[in-house]
Amino acid sequence: MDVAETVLLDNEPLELSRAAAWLDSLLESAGVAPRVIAALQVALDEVLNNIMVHGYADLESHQIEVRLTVDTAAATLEFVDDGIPFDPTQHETSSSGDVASTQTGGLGLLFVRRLMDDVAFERVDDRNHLTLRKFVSL
Amino acid sequence: MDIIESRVGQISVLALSGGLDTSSAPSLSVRAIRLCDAGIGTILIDLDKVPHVTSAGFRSFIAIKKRAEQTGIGMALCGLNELVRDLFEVSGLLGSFRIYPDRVSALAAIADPGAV
Repeated sequence: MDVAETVLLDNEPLELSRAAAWLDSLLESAGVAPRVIAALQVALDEVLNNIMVHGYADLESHQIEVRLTVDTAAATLEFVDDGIPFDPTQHETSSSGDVASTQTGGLGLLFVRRLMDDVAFERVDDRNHLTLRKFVSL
Repeated sequence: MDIIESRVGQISVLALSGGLDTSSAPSLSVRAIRLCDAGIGTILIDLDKVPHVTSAGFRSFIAIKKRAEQTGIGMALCGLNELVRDLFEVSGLLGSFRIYPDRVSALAAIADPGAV
């Protein structure tokens, strides 16, 4: 079953569980395999966390748009935010054994790259557009 | 995420169910650190019903490990699924924790340190 749904989140940590529930519900009804759902849940948490924690230079409320599309080939998560320009594909990550020294966000990006089949970034109209793609087997 | 706490001799088992992520990691940290401060012998975190762990969960494991070391409490994990184990590996943390396949083998190993 194909899916194309969008959710608007406030940049507020309490929204993370709402986003996770939204994602779970859509992916389960699309018949996506549990291991793929788990990988997408990790990516969702990491990306949203990064945006909320690092993305804004002000204390204003902002909205983050998350769009999920699922077809027979892949599940795609697109994140659109109006925070400071941040391209995670250019960000250095290291898997050091001393994770205490790993920057917040560094480990998360490592996980996203590990679990997703494609990570693409574009800065368009003063917004960050991050697209994650994972191949599915339905 | 739910946390069910039980006791097996000197081992406190924290059985989690649900994703361990930004929203749920703090409650694990609080529970486990409280156990460290209460002085029970070993904390076993059972991830059998945990489909995924995000970097927030890993930071929680690290914080718990640090507190366990400070208080002389043992710490172990069990029930990692393939995805969680992969992330342990990718983060370079696989060797930093005592990890067992399941609760039965974990309890046996912790209770009898002479065994492997």
